Amino acid sequence: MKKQTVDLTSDERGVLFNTDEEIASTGWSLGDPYPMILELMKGPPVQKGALEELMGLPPQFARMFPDKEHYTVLSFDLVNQAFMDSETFNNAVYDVMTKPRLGDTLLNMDGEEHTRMRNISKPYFKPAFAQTWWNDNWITQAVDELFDHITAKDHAELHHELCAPLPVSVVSIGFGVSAKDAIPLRKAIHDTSSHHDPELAGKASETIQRIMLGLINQRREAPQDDLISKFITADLALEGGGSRKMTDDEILRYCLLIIFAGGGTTWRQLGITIMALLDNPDQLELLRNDRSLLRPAIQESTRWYPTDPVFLRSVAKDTVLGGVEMKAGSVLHICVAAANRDRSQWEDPDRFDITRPSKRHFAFGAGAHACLGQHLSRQEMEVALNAVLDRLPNLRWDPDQPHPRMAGGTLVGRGPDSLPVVYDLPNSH
Amino acid sequence: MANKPKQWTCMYCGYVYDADEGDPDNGVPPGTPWGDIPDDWCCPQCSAGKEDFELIEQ
Repeated sequence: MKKQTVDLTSDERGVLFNTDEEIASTGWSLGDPYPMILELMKGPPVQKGALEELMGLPPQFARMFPDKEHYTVLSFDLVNQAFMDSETFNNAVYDVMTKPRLGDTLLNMDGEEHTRMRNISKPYFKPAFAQTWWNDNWITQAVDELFDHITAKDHAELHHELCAPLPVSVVSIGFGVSAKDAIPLRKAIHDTSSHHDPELAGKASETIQRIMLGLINQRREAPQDDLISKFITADLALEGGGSRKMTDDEILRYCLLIIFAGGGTTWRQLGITIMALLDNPDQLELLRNDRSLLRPAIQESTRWYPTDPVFLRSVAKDTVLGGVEMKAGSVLHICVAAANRDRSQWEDPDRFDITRPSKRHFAFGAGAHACLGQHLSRQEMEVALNAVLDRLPNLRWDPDQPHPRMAGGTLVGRGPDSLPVVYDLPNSH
Repeated sequence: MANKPKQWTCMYCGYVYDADEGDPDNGVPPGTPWGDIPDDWCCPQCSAGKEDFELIEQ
């Protein structure tokens, strides 16, 4: 059977999956943003200014849109209103944030164009497909492979031995990219945004073209049971009716977006979930004894600490949100981290509690641009957590290692910097 | 007599199913009460199942 996990111990990964490198490259060393976000929530639900500025931090998103007015929305109801009104609050911000790196993708499309393009991939990211095709073909085998290494010893750093390699393996290999090419491809996507090193960016583009166009050509000749073959044969609806197949370039950009988005967020969110459980041993035991709490535990960890605390939107027309006037062209910072802890929606929202009644929140966004891969992400986390509970008896923090801290190179992409654990081996009793 | 509940929202993306409007693009005519929607219908926005919807208090 072919190997279905990538090797993250190779030097090829460079800065990827390396929180220290991220922090060094951006100058951020912010530990836990929540105390500042909770402080902001004591003020009005819509405030003028970029989120990071309101938190007293150096400009980050504001620097990307220097000539724009910025606003931040914090409450559950107004965050919901902004997400659900994609005509007023659209995704044109991604023309600046991701288009230079990934080209035109779902992220910077809106309206009917976005719907038609999203419909191509929607069937392959629905819950039933995640629980069958993704699970049976890719997730369970990848988890088994990773645990074969983890359980060969009595300690592990789960953030890099489980949480990081799992999603990047599943999404890359599920697409059709080989385990060998997955990390060079991901690093190349990262390097294409290297404005200070045009030579590096140029080489990265060549790597992407070589791997992806080679793969597209192979699959056109001989389709396989992978996502890229499904995209090649899919019908893209046209504006005036009828349909056509996607071009190589459209397929390539679609793949890059999903491979890029699907690798980092689940890595960190799974790490956050494991950290929350280890920091709350009563919750860990509850879950160990009642696996029907797995989905609620994932729902709770994504509510309690979403890896991306903020999403941005462009204000497409003059409007008023929460009594605050905004001019067309402004940038709206939708602080899902605040909305997910809205006191009017949850009792004691700062507490991690997997027994809460499941309820809507905004970790995966909402509305027309709600995260396409959210059901796949939940499935990966569910299988991984089940394995953690089944295969690592007496799991606990490694007493000889420092306790992890929530970190990240930017205000988005937050997660633990490591997960050092020890456990009993099956034959240790 | 209390009105029958008419709106349900998807727990994962916020899509609102309104019985008055139905979901004609996916074979659910306007006026279809929640209970009459087929069990294999899914959220037109994020594909979550019918069981992942919660009632919006009227």
